[in-house]
Order: sequence, then structure tokens, then C-alpha cells
Amino acid sequence: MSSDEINGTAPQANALVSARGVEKTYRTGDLVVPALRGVDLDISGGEFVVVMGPSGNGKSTLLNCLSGLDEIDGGTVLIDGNDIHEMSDRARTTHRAKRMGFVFQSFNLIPVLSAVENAELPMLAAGAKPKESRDRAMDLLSRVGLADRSGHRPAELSGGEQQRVAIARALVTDPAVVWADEPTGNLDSATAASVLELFHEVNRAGQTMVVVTHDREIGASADRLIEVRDGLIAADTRPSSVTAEASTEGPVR
Amino acid sequence: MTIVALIILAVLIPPVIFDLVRRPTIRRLGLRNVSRRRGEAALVVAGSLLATALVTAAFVVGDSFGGSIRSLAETRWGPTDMIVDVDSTDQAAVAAEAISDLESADIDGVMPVSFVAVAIGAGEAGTDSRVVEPTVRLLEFDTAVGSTFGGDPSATGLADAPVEMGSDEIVLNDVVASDLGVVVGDSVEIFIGDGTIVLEVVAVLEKTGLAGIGEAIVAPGSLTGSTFAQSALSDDAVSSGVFVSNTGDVYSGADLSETVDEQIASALAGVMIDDPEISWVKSWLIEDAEFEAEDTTSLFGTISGFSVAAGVLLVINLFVMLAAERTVELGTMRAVGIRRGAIMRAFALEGAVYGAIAAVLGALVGVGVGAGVTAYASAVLPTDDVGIRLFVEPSSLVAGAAIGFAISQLTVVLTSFRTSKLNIIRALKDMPAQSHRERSWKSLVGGAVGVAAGVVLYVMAGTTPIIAMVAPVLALVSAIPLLGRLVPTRMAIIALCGAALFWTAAVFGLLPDVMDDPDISLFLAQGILLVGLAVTMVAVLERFWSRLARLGGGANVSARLGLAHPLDRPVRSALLIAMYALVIFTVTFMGVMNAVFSASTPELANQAAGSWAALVDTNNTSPFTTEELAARDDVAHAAAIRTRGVEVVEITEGLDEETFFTRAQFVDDQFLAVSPPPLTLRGDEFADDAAAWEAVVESSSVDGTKWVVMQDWSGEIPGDVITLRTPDGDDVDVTVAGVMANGWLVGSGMYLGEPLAPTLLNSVDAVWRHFLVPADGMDASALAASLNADGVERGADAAAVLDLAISETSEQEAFISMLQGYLGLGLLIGIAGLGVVLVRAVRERRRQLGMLRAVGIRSETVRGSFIVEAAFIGFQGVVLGIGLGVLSSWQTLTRSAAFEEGLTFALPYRWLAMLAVIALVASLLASLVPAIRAGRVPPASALRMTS
Ligand SMILES: Nc1ncnc2c1ncn2[C@@H]1O[C@H](COP(=O)(O)OP(=O)(O)OP(=O)(O)O)[C@@H](O)[C@H]1O
Ligand SMILES: [Mg+2]
Repeated sequence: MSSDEINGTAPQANALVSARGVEKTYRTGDLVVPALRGVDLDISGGEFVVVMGPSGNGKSTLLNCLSGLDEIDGGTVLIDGNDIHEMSDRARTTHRAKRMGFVFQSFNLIPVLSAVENAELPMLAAGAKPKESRDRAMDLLSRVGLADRSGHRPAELSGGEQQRVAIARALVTDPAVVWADEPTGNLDSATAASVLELFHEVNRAGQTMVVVTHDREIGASADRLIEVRDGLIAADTRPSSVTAEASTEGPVR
Repeated sequence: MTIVALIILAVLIPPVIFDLVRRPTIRRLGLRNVSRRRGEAALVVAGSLLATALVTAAFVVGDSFGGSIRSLAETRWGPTDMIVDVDSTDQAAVAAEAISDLESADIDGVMPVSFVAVAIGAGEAGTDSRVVEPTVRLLEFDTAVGSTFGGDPSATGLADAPVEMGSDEIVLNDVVASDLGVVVGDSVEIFIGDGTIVLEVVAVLEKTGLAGIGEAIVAPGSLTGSTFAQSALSDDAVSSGVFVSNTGDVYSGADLSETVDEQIASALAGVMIDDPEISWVKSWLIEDAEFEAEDTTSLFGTISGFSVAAGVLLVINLFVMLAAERTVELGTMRAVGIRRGAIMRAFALEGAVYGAIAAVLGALVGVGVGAGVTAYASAVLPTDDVGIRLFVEPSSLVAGAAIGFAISQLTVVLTSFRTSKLNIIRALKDMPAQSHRERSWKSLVGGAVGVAAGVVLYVMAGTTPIIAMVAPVLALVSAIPLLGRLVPTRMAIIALCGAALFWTAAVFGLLPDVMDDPDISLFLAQGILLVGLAVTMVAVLERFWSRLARLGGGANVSARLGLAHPLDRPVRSALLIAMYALVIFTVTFMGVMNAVFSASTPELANQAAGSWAALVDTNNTSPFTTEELAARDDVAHAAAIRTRGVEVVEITEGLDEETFFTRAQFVDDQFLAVSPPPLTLRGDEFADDAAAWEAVVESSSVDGTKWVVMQDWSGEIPGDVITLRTPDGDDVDVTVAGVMANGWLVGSGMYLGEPLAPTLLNSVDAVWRHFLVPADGMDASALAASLNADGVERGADAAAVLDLAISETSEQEAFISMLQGYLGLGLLIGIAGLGVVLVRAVRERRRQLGMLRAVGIRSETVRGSFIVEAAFIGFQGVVLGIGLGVLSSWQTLTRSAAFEEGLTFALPYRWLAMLAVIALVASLLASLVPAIRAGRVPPASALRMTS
């Protein structure tokens, strides 16, 4: 099946992520900022989705709400067919540990833990055995090319290396989706390119990726490019796909 | 202390004020940081005010003790400033006249007074209403003269006294009247010898002034005149004297004591009374009050020194955190060209705002704490007449606030100096400051200078206790960089700090002569050194702990996170551990001391009286006789103890002769019927204690060496010769046969043989004290009770020696427990400190916490990590505090000359276990709020936060 079957508002039971009418409004005092104004979106397994759009238009908010990091004010988000916002905080946390990976712009590693300890953290959180977690984390560190730096603390690694540790951490539980919010924002273009290559590599191995970025190059390399404007999805295209005619123009809703 | 604080403030505060007024940029930087995060600012203020509160409380407690005793001085003696002791009633009249004739402007009252202690009874004999008060102070003087004695009639306490009293009338003060259950018009019986005299109560007066000194008052001539003359009252039982009131109020009057003393002496020389004994009763009491106030302040000040030291560590920690939190900000400021000095000054300004608020609030809180301690003290301390009330001198508030402010400002300035030295690049990347090993020549030179200074200090001033303790530690610690060239630094630190730790703990035992009379501040220094050294060693073992932690807590995410943070910041953790350990150290020390005192009670009794288990005193008007006591069924042995004052002649350094009265006990061979008090030192000529005591009781006034036994505190040793002066003015040399430890429990002073009594004393009338051994199967306390019942009309006052020891130690224990309660506040500092530091840690790590939650770590795991962190700090603090406290109390109590010999060392195991549990639970409680906050950090918004 493919995403050209998207039609109307019925949630797709077979999509990995299926959002319907997602609303999010920030309120600080008298100030009300409607950041998401009813978003519908389906993401299938194995897709490499890039989210772009001008600053302040709701990209990060979308990612946080779809992944269940943040609460929503309206709509539903199904992941693996389960409504994550109906789950208790505890269940959602466990779900995150087992089914999701995160990569952030500012790496966000724990400074007092070594690279491998950072990388294995989600596995331990999900209840895996220490030995198994360590082996898996080492595996992933070698996959991102940091086998020899596993004992180093974040402060002893370069930005690109730190981001690669973060990617290893995101992949360690073999998650259903990896969410990345401007993963190359803090990196120079050469390093950014190598991180991007790493993303494609894991995607080719079947990993679903959702990447928020300002980087045109990443956008151009995506299976699917979503443009967010003013809290709504303004465009959903498939730039690198041969089936480019499947793209939808204009807001979905 | 206050002066030092004021000097520090005088140096540190003016620049801050200058910046505040004239440097808008610095003012903005500093003040904005205060107002930016009010909650955080409040935490810093709360942490800093604790130290101020404790210092202020120490002053307030001192004020209260001093003030209470001073107010006693103001009322107890009424108008009486001086008392001149004379030999007889007749002499008193002569002396009074001679003093009046001086017509001195410094004297506004002179009155001859006679005194006797008697038993007074009331109610019908054989009925329930019968009451006998065994010992009542009875004064004989003219109430008409008394009520105008001194400048202020209301101070005499005699305003309502009858002007003229008949010889069958008596005036009582309200306390005695209510004890006896009598009112005006009732009659009372006075017991003298075998007979009684019946007097009518004509007035009941408030216990103040002369009606306070005299619990009962009779007309002149009553004691010596017709009424009592028929009775068996011997002349010797009555003391006579002249009360003198100095011109002026309580204090100006007392200040005249020296002048008036000279005037009285010259007046009496004129009537052939030489060398009279003049007591400056009021001035001495005032001196006592001042001494007591100072003593209490310094005791509480020193004890609170531990808590204040803990408070200082807390303030350091808070400001280090404050600076660490702003590393990026500070780095940016430096990067855009703001000078280091400006950053420091902004920091100092910010700190001064916190410090000033904390000082004011702290002083107020301190008054509250002081009031609490005072209330507790008045409840637990047995203080005969002195009711401890709250007194607060304004100067104490100023001193407390100034000391607290100085401590925090000094901390702020030193911390800011360090933080402003940050590396801009590292700061911008928010990387931890590089820990560069100082292997430079600077540290070597510094080390060498330190070693040299330590050695020189020790050689030059090693007899000063504090130097003897600290100098070797200085030398050892300074040697670390030197030894660090040869062996790994870690090893050098362990070896040398270990050696220094050993020295500090053992110094009381190693240098008994130097440490023989230690100041309490020495214990403060010891505690701080021990904790500091131990914590340093523990911090150095950090890598070892991490490995251990990884082994034990590898699988558990809470444990891993909770341990990783404190292990990553060894210095900060060490500060926290030290803070906790210091407080627990002191509480432990006090607790052990308490246990040792109570375990030593039986030994205390033995040291004081040997096998003599009870003693009984009676009025000298109608004493028990030895035969009478020995004949009782419940008494196995009785020994007469004649206790009187003897005059000691001392040749001062200027070869002047000085004499003073010391208390003496004359004993005969009855005293040797059971084992007398054990001797701690004994002359070589005596085979055993018994031989030495035998030599004492047999010393005759005629020939041979006259042996005596002295008390430990006198400083005399066997073989020393003491010169005594007889009433006739002849000198008699006595030689110390032995020294006993603790006679003060049942009368201290010199033990002499009865054969010397006639030579050394005016008169050898009846003996009014006896030591007793109860008959087989009879308990000493029960014997005392039955003697008290049988001898009530003769003023019997009996007690078991062990009971005296128990009440003595329980008094000490009450005081120590009061100090412990006070120290509990220090524990509060520890808890508050840990809590504050952890709350700040939550804020510092907010982003990380958000990330942890994002990658699927549950909030209970996050909470757990904070609890583990607190427990890790708390555990080390508790182990070090209790361990070092036990070590140091064991050393000082059993190995040093500072405490009495023969203390039985005992550990209050259950109490210590309780302390450990409470302290651990407290550290967990401290982590509760921060842990809950950490668990609630919402991932999305925490991650949005830019650092
Ligand atoms: N916690 C918050 N409180 C109030 N408003 C918020 C909050 N977080 C985001 N916003 C607002 O919501 C809107 C969407 O923000 P969001 O971070 O999703 O934008 P973005 O597209 O990711 O921007 P950028 O590309 O700059 O990261 C913005 O207008 C922002 O100001
Ligand atoms: Mg964004």
C-alpha cells in the first residue's frame, strides 16, 4: 500500500503513524498561540519523511505532538494503531522507550555518562539486560563509526560525534520511528552531510524516519517532503520518488 | 569575632555600595540576576540565613544566662553590697559603729547582723498538718534599721515589716511561710539543741532584699539574748557580721567595693579588729554573671561553630552552583568584552543583596532560636534560685548579623574570583572547567613553604595546644605536591592526609602535657580538621567509588544517574558531604560524652567517697553525734567529717604573701573503717592508699611530717608542701601524701587528720557532717531517707553518694542534651542545604531531564536518581560523621588529661543507630521535593529550553 490512498478523514489503520485533526495551542498568560490548527497526516513504515517550513510555523510542535512528547488540545494520533494521547504518562513513556528514537538539534547527551552509557540508556529504560544493552549499544556505536570512542564523555567529543552518539541512542531499541528535530542544525555542512548519509543508510535498512529541517539538501533527498505553514500542512510531495504524481497540492484539510 | 566580621565588611561592602550607586552596568547585571529568579534567590537567602541565625542564637543564649544572673544580683542581696565577717555579736556592734563613724560618702547603710541555720516546725505535732523545714536561714537584726538600710527602701524587702519586734516574734518570707503552711498570727517552733522555742509570726514578706537573704528574721538580742540563751545554742553556732550598703544603684554601688573595702579595713583597724574578712557579695555576683554570660556565649558559639562551618560550606556550594549555572552566560559576557573585574563585582553585588537580606532575617530567626534554647534551659537546668529568662542585647543582634553577613560576603567574593577565571571557549560550550594538575614550580614552592611553616610553628610554639594540633597537619598536607613528584598524586594525598588524620585524632593522647587543659575551641578545630581530611581522602577515592557504583548499580538506571552526578563533581560532593559530616560529628561527640558521663556515675561516687555510701549533714545547733549514728540498726559504720575553712599562705612571685581560705575535711581513724577514696597519685613512701590515708589521720600537731590528701584540681602532687596559718597567726607546714580525683561531689578541698583540728581551727565544736555505710541489706538511699525523717527537727540533710553522683551527671547530661538540641539545628542546615542544592540541580539539569523523559525513562526512575544522589551524599556524611565522632570522643575522653581520669568509655549504640537512621532519612526527605520536581519535568518544554 502507499500513501496515495490517503483520502478524507478516516484514520488509516495500517499506517504506522496516523494523525487526525491534531490541534495544539500554547497559552502564556493572555497570549494564545495556535501552533497546530487541525493536522491530518499518515506515515507508513519505511518512509523517510522530511518536514520543512518557515521558522515559528509549528514544525517542532508537530513532531512533539506526533511522537507523544507533548500533550495535544484536539484530534487523535495513532501509532501502531494505538491512540498515544489516550495512554497514561507511564504507558506512553514505556512506549517511547520501546518504539521511538529521538535526535535533537543540540545532541542532549548526559554529560556525566560516557558515549556507550548514553547510547544504551533507552534499552535499560525499556528493561533490557545490561549485557545485551551494552552489546547492542557497542554495535550501534561501531555502525556510526565511533567504536573507538565509546568510553569518552560528551565533552570530549566533537559536535558531529556527539550527534552520532545521539543517533546510536535513537536506534538502540530498534524503534518503529526515529524523530529528528533539526539534527544537522548545529553541524557544519560536511558533518551534516555525513549525518544525512547515516540517516539514509538506516532508512534503507527499513527504519522509518521523520526529520524536521531547514536544510534544502535534506529536503531534496527525501522520499516525502511535508511543508508546514501556519500550523497546517501546506504541501505533501515526493521529490525523489518516481511516483511524483501521487503528491497532493494544497492543504489536506 | 565581631570585630573581625566588621573589618571584613568594612573592606568588602564599600566597593559594592560604590558600584550600586555609580556603576549602572554592574548594578544592572547584579540586581537583574536577583530579580530574575525570585524562587532561586529565596533559596540562596534561606541557605545563608541559617548560619547567621545560629551565631545570633549563641549570643542571645549568652545574654539570657548573663541577664538572668545579673537580675538575680540586682535583687538577691537587696541593698547589701558587702558583708564584714566578725567573731561575735559584740564585735559586730563595735565594728558597725566604727564603720558608721567614718561618715563616708560612699556608704549609705551599716547594720550588724547575726545568722544561724535552724530547723523550724509548724502545725500540731503528731498530726498531718505538722511540717518541719530542716534548714532555714535565720537572721537577727533591727527591722527599723533594716527598712531604711541603703538608699532605696523598696529594695530592702522590709517595707511591710513591723518597725518594732518583740523577742517572741518572728518574720518569715513568703517562700518559707508557704512551705510551712503558716500565716500571720500562727506560731512556729524553732529547734535548738534538745529544746524548742515558740515564736509568733508577725509578718510574711516577699522574698527579696534582706527578706531574701533572711528566710526568717528575729529581733536583735534574740539569738544571743534571753530567749535563746537558756537553750543549748552555743556561741559558735552563730555567725556575726556587718552588712554594708554602698552609695549608688546596683552597679555604681558594686563598683565602689574596692574603695569601701579600704575604708572599712582602716575603720576596723582603729577598733583593733585586724585583717577582717570582707565579702564583696554583690560585686562578686555581678562578676559571676558576666563570667557566666561570656562562658555560655563562647560555649554555644563554639558548638554552633560546627553548624556555622556547615553553613559556610552551604553558602559556598550555593554560589558555586549559581556560577556554574551561568557559565555560558558568563562566557558570553567575557566574549563580548566585559572585563573579569566587572563580572566579579556584579557577582559581589548580587551576593551582597542576598547576604544583607539573610543577615537581617537570620538575626531575627536567631532570636527565636535563642528563645527556644532559653526556654528549654530553664526547663531542664536545675538552677537553684536563678530562673533563666530571655534577654536580648541589641548588640547581639548586630554582632550576629555582622558575622553572618561577613561570612557570606567573603564566600561570595572568593567564589566569584574563582568563577570569573573561567575559560571563555569552554564556558561557551558549557564544558566542565579543565582540571589541570598543578605540577608547576609554584605548587612545589608553596608546598615547601607550607612544610617549613608547619615545622617552624611546631618548634617555636608547639606548647600552644592549637598550634601543636594544626602545625603538623599543615606540614603534612603541604607536603602533598612534594611527595606527588615521587608517587602518584592520589597516593600522596591518601598517605599524607591519612597521617594528618591520625595525628589530629590522636593528638590528645600523644601530647598529654600540652593538651592538658584544652579550650573548647580546640575541639572545634579538631572536628573541622578531621572531617576535612577524611572528606578529601574519600573524594580522592572517587574512581574507586565509580567502579564500585558501576558494579553495583550498572543495571539500575536510577542508581547509574544518581551516582554519576555526584561522582562527576567530586569537589562539590565533598563540600556537601563535609557539611553533613560536620554536623553529625558534633552530635555524635556529644552523645558519646553523655553516655560516658552516665556510665561513669558509679565511678564518680567511688572517687568521691570510696566505700562510704551515704552522708548526712545536720544543723550545727543540734547535730547528730557519731555514737548516736553508729548505734542505729540501719548503720554499719559512721565517720565524723569536720568540714571547715583553713587559711592557706601562698608566696606570690613578687615574694608577697597572700592568704586565702580553702575548704578542709578533718578525719580520724573512723574514716578508715571502710576503703576511703582511691588516690590517683601517691607518695613513694606509701605502699598503698590505705597507708597514705593512715599517715593522714595519724598526723599529729606535735611532731613528724603532717600529711594531707589534696584534690586533683589543686595541681599539687605528692611531696608538695603547703603552709597553713593558725588562728593565732602561726604557720604550719603540711605535706601532700596523695591526690584524689573527684572529691568535689561531697565537698572538695584538703583532707587533714583530726589531731590537727585544734591547732588550725578557732574552736572544735560539734561535727555536723558524717559519712555512713548502711547496715547489710540496707540501701544507701533508704538509709538517707530514714535519717532525713528522723532528723528533720535537727536539720538533717542526708543523701546517698551515688544519688548525688547521678544528679550531678544528670545535670551535665541535661546541659549536653540542650547543646544537642541546639545542634539539631545544624542538622537542619545539613538537610536544608542538601535540599537546596538538589532543587538547584533539578533546574541545572532540566534539559537533560527532558531528554531522559523523551527517550523513555519513567518519571519514577528520574525521581529515584535524585533520591539515590541524596542518599549517596547522606550515607557518606553519616558514616564519616559518626565514625570520626566516635573516634575523636574515644580519644579525647579516655586518652586526654582534659577530662577526669577514670571515665568509663561507653558507646550509646542504640542512640547512634537512631542518629544514623534519622540522618539518612533526613537526607532522603531533603531529596523529596527536588525528586518530585524532577519527575514532573515535561519533556517537550524542557527540551525547548536553550541553555
Ligand atoms: N512553550 C511555548 N509557549 C508558547 N508558545 C510557544 C511555545 N513553544 C512554541 N511556541 C510558539 O508556537 C509556534 C510554533 O513553534 P515551533 O517551535 O513549533 O516552530 P518551528 O516551526 O519549529 O520553528 P523553528 O524552525 O524556529 O524551530 C511559535 O510561534 C512559537 O512561538
Ligand atoms: Mg523548531
